[in-house]
Amino acid sequence: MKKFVLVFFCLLLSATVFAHRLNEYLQATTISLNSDKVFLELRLTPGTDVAERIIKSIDLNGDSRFSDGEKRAYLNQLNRDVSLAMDGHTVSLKLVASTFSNIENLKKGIGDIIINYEVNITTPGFAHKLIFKNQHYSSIAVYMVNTLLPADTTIQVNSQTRSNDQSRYQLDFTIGSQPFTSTMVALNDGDNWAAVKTYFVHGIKHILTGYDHLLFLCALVLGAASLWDLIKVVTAFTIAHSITLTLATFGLAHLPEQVVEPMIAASIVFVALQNIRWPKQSNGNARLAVAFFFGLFHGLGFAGGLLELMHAMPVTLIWFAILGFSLGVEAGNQLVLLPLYGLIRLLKHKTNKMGTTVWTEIPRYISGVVAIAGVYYFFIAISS
Amino acid sequence: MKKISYSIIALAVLTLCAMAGFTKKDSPETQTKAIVAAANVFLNTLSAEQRKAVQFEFLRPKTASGTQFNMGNMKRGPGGPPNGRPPGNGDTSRRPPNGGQRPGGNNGGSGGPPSSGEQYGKAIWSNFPVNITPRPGIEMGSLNAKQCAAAMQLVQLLLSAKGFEKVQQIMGSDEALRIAGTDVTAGSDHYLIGIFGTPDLSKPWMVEFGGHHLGLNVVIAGKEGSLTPTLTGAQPAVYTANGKTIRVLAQENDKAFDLLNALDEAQKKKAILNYHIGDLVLGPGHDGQTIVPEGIKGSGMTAKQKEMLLSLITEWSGIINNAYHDAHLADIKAGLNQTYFAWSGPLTHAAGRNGTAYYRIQGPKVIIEFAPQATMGDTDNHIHTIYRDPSNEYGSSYVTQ
Repeated sequence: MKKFVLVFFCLLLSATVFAHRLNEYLQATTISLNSDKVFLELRLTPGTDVAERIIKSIDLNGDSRFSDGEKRAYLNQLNRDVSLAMDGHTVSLKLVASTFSNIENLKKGIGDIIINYEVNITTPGFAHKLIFKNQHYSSIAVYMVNTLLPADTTIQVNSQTRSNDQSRYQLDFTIGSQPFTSTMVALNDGDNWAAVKTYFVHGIKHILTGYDHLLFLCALVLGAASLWDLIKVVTAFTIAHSITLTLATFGLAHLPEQVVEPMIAASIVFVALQNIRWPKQSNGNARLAVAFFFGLFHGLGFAGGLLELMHAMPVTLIWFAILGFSLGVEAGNQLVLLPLYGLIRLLKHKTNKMGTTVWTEIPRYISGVVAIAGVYYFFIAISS
Repeated sequence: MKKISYSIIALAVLTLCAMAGFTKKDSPETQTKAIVAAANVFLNTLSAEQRKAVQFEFLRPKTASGTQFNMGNMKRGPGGPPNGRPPGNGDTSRRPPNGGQRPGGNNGGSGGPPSSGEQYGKAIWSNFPVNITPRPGIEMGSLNAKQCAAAMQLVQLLLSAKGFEKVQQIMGSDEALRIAGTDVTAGSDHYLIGIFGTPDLSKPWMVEFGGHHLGLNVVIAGKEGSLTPTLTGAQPAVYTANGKTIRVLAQENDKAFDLLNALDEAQKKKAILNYHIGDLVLGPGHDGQTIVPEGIKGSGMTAKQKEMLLSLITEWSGIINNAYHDAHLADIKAGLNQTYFAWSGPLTHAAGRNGTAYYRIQGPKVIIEFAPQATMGDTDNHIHTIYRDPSNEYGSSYVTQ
């Protein structure tokens, strides 16, 4: 019983003993940015219960003072435990300054070890991704990472992502003089490849929500004699629209919307009528030429949507955006074409088995419907 | 009939006079007059030696730094000497001409002394007990009854009724810590008062009052008054005194939970951070820093939610006397759409206890952090909070006339 009372009394005492950070090692990192450098300040504060352990790991000879050599050894250990990657490349942290509180203050829990690093931003472009990782004394660490609001207003922080314990911190930011707000929202991921990814999605969306493009593709499939034939036609279409898309994006080609939209509608009608009236010319080189010619106008149509998204985007990033968008359009095409082609092949196979010639007529009827839809789009395009 | 008319007129005049008197009493100029008088009364109760311990020159550096006590044997490590200032956001207006400016106007990172306290000129405040981080000024426990009453009268005039009650509860909590037994200096006797500059009706001067878990920095400048930075905290956060159970910083906790619960799911998704925050980010030693804001922006809140956010902010901004609070509150209100509310931690709290979640409010004129401290697994009984105004720390916007 006596023992129990004693233990209880000790517990009570320990709860009221100096009650601030005890068994944790607070490691607060503050990041600040300017146009060509990243600065990091690590403020390390051991709690009173773990201070001895940290002091021992610095004061290797146990003489109760930190020599320059001992400090250097500790800094080397810290340098191995933390890492910084800029734009996908691990960079070495340049030590700028370090301050070690005296041992007495560290023991009291009010001492700090403050380390200052800096890193040059050497990767070109306006979008940057920084990843900071800290594994220093992970079993007792309380990590905190924060970035100061940049004084330079041309630097924009787009997003911060942390692991639950803040041992991993990702900062996406841009450096540039132009406030291209609409693009920044889309460019949360920061770097050039993020632009490819973002515009890839835009490309897919553009195709899947653009019924005029889908109808044109439908008409091309209906005329294709084989898969190889279809691939050639779609490739000709892709090359053509990529050319005009690129030229229009850089301001080198332009046609008014009043011309482009009716031409796209006309392309649907033309290809559909070709399927009905001249089925022999609906594949082979004649169809390749048609796909290429109308592809040029479809490219100008894609450019309209893309230009809105890329307002004031730097030139280097535009290439990545075009690449992403074109790949997205291509992926969108395939998402529609391949299942459609598969379905047509299946129907053809079934009707052949049945020994009927029904199939030969079906593409012509569907093409007729597509042509009517094309005429409808044509009048809408003209009237608007 | 005439008599009745005269009586009504007299009553009306008296009412108007009373209203005028009431308004006059609450006006900042009158309040400043009363505060200056109370400061002089307090100083006059002191001996010459005591006055020397209480009065300091009001130095007005561009920015504060970490405390520099017990730093005599601190040695600079490899890599060159730091400039002794915390990293800032490059606001040059608040920095000395050669105060460690980095290219691009950014002060970048720079080592400094330990951050157990914050030093502004000769003033120091901290969350730590006074034996660990000493403060300038004179301890309440060293004053006689008359001197102590005069000191507390001055503090009371500087603060609102609610603010003064909050301060008393924080001191009561430290008294409870002392009674429970602790190896640190605790108790209401160990709160200090310091006066920086000469109490004046127009020129800025400052009263610092604080101790363990309390750091009030009240700058008075004519009709203006500021309270930032201010630290409040408590351990134990719940204690019993005179048979009454007191939960310190209860409104700060409850109003925050009310606001969180008033958010819809989409708003909560923005407000709740998916990572753990273990301490104050902008506590002592972080003057002049503004971090990238996170959480839900005021512009994404309904009018009712914004009202709740403002009410929560007043738990700190309203510590100062109402005469000075109104102008500052109007500024905070004007920036409410640009003010963020971020939450990290549990979404509920035990009845009658404060929660264990961290939250932060950050706007153009206000930074507030509420950070429960993990102490021996007792996470809901120990709190640190900080209140800053990035545009007016230590009354920096008040020009010395």
